[in-house]
Amino acid sequence: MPRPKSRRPARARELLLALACAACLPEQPPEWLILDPRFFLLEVEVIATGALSKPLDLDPPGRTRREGLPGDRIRIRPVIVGPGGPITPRDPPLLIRSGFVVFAPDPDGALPECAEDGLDGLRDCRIRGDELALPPLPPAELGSSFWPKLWVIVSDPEGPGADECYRRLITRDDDGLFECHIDDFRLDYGPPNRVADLQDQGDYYQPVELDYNLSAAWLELSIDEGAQTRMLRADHGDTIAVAPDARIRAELKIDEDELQRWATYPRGEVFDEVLSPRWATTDPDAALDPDAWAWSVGQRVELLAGPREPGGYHLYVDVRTRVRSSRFLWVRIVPDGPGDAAP
Amino acid sequence: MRPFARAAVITALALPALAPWPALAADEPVSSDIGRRRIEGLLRRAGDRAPLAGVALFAYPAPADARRGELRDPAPPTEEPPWVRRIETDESGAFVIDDLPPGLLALEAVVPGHVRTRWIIDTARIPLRGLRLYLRPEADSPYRTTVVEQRARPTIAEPAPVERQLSSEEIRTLPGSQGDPLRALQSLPGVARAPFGAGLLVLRGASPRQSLVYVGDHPVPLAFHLSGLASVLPAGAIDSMTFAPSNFAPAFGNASGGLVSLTPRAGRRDAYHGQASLDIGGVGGQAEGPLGKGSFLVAARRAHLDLPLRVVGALNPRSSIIYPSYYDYQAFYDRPLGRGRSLHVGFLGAGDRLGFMGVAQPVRGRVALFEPRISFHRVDLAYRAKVGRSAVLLTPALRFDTNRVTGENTELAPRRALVSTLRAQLDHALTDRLTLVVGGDAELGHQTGDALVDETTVLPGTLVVGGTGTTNTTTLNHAYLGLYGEAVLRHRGLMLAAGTRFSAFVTEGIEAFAVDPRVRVRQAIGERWTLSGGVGLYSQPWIGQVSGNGGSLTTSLVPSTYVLPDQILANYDPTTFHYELAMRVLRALQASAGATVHLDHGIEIEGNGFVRELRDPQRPALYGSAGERAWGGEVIVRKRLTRRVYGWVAYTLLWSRRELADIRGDHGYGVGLYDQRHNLVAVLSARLPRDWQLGGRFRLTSGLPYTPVIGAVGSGASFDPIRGALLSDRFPLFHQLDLRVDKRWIRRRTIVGAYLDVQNVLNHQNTEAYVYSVDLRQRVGSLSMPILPLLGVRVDI
Repeated sequence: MPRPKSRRPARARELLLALACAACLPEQPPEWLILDPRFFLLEVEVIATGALSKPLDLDPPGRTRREGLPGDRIRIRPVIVGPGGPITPRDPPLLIRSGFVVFAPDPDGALPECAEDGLDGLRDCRIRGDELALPPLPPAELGSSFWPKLWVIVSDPEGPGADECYRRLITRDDDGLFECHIDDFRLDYGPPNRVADLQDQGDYYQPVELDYNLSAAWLELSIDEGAQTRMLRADHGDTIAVAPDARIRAELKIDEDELQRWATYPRGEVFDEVLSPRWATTDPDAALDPDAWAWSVGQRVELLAGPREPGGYHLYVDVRTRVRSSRFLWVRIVPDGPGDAAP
Repeated sequence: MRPFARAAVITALALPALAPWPALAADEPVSSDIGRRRIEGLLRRAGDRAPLAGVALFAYPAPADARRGELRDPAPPTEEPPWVRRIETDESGAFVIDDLPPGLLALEAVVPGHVRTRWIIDTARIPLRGLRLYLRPEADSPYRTTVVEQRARPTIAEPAPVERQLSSEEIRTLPGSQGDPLRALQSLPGVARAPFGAGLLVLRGASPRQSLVYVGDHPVPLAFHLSGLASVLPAGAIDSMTFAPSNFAPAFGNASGGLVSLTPRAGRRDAYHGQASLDIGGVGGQAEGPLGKGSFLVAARRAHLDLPLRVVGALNPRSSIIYPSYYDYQAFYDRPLGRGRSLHVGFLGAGDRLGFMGVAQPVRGRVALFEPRISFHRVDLAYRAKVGRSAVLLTPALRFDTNRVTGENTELAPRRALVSTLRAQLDHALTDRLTLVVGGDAELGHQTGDALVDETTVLPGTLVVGGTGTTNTTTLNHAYLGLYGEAVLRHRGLMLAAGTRFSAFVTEGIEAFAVDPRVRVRQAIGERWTLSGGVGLYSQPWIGQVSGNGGSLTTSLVPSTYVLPDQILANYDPTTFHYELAMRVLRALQASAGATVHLDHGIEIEGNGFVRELRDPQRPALYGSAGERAWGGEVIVRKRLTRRVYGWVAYTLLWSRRELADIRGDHGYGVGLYDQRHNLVAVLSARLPRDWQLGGRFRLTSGLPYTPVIGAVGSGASFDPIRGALLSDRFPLFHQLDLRVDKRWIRRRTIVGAYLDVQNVLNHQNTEAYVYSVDLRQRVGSLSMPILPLLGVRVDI
């Protein structure tokens, strides 16, 4: 007669877990799971050049520069994503140029307008609109690790507005800032070879191309719906209908010809630009690895579509250089039946 | 009957246990044929084998059919014994009975507080020497009678206006404290409850770093182990503990808060004793006994809570777990030198590791994200002499401290310190009423740390040790000197002590001086009332400080999604020199007054009011606070330990404020870090039959203030909290019930004890920290102490 299965090991395990719970820390939602509106990235585009840069009309068609030189004008666009898809802020972002690591607000709360070009001393100043001229820093300071700094304040659509967010930030208002999105960005100058030229170190970098944003990026989806497995290409903004509980593997694809190449002096070694995607999704059942924020191009993430969900799930990808976003794309997955790609 | 035997019988008759012997009252002639046997023996208390000195043993012939052996609570003899002899034990518990006839002999001991025991022995078969008799203490009798050694130190621990003591029995059995003296102290009024039950002594609103814990005549840098589960000195190594929440004597300095003094216990000389203990938190051992003309006591303890937690970690590899481990040791040698002189040699030390383990990279498994390691080791000598009306104390000590933090990829700021302290004191009784106390103490320290030069964070004139980046080894020397004098008048229930302490502080070229006058008074009114009060200044040198916002613990090592109590952050940051002036001096004015009334049945009611004003004018503007203010009151209704019950109800009302500067630079007072407005503690413990003891503790306290998160700065998956107004929110009300059951088995040579201490019996979720989502938009959890049963056993031999 077979002996009944002992429950002691299970009980011992439960006991051990219970004893340890005093020292256990609660599990947090994974960082790639979008539960609330989130400041996802900042897109930067050079829209006009100054005396130091080459004219924009010399750039390849469809490519935009992500870094400029003193005197260039840039446009920035904060990207806010939420559980229901990308979010349009309530009003244009409030841009604050600051000479400090942290805010040094005027005690009266006044925030002067920034001069069109040039620095404004040590005072914070605000920038009208979403465009600004890159400050004419001395060449020696172009590589500074913390200067100049740009603060970006954005309000949720239901939020109080960017100006009110700023006021609450300065006063540490009890109303809170949870409907506001705030981040600071270093205004990088580039491309590196031109900065090196200005610093009389031009021999160090020998660029092949300029410092461009990535223009072509898409997702290659492998959709396992039980009875069949489909392969699809999903471009930015696409909605993909899948069967409920389908397993979806997503792989980022880029045009490798767009990767820029660099040669170092004096060895002349050539390196490809390294881009890495940072994934996020609204699918709580996704199987994104905790390190999805540091993967390189070519690695895959896996999503479980789950039950029928009219709104579907969103998958967001930020293709980045080491410090800067180079391309943003998103797709929507709708577990709605065995359909094909939705329009 | 011989006169002494008759007297003994009459004495015995006066005891209820022997009362049914009516015949013994008769003048019975003692048999003349005794004289062929002699018994030499020892009478000791069962369990700890303490000699029972001056105890009367009654010997009489037992009936021939009596059963040999030991009989507890025996029935009275049915027949009148033909003779009775009374023998008294000497100081070592030894006794001799001569001229015994062969045959069965009954020996009976009647000692108050012990079980009446009768031994039936055959005088023809027992050895002539070496008879060992063990008398069992009553269940409701204190197990250990503490013999207080009359050392020549009448005033060094001269009580403050408010002085509270806990007996060893109370410390051992207090629910929720696992027999730890300092954790037991946290149940008294004037002591705030620390978050997570951490080892923080917040006395009357003062920061733990503003109070001092003395072991012997010298302070220790670490009162509690990092986990907060235990203090660095086990109860078994302590003779007494004195606690002054404020207004302590001029003999102590360098603190602006309160004082706790733990007096090491001298080893016993009556025999060799040992002790071993084991509970879920650790294992410990202790041995003591005579050594030459003196006595020794050695003890050591090692926590092993990290071991089961590592197993749990292996079972649940994705969880983050805290691994606490610690050790401590003590070795004391005490030797009387004759003519009122004595020598004490002590070694003690403690070390801690507290690993915050998390899964940073799945490939590499769980790693130590943050692991502070601290330790200290100390050796001290104490020479005491009492000559005529004078008492002298001379005691040097040398201490070595280490402090380092290791992380996943870094090791922050290893810091080492060599600290020597010296105290010399003379107490001289000028008259029967007036005693003069003069003395001095000194502390010389040499600290070595790794200094960081970082132009983005260094404040002008700062010495920065710790952090990351390019480091250079930097040394920091300090010297503190204190001279004090005090006159103590005792007359007709009055104790009036007035004195002054002069302090000089020198650190790397920074000099500061302080004069701290102090007055303490206590007046007994009748037999029931005592009034007390005190006022004085207290100065404290301060090297290094961390704030709730500034240390590396907050900025880099704890995930930004954890909002820990500022009280924890302010006291556990390992880089104690971070962003701080080399030295500054804190000055506090302390005043307190109170009354105590002693009622019947060992009940007393005590009430006190206190106020404390601290100035710290050199505190860096980074902290925005140059002063602290605390005031409030305490009431305790206490039932002193009697035969069966002890307990108290203590309530503390506290306002703690600290000076704040707003954005315009205007100063005002806001809520202080330790503003625990209400603190109610109720303790009750009762001895039950058969050596059972049952106790409970209930605590109800206001939630501590914390600085809330009102938003976040960041994007992607990297966010930092934006905090609201400083300390503008509070954690929820805290309440917790702890229960404890003790059971002892007393054998002849051993005592086996076991306890079950269940903390938070109701498993109430007391939120003490918040956990946020990565973008800090949602509170996704909280940290609290769940129900925690702790089982322990202890064996004394």
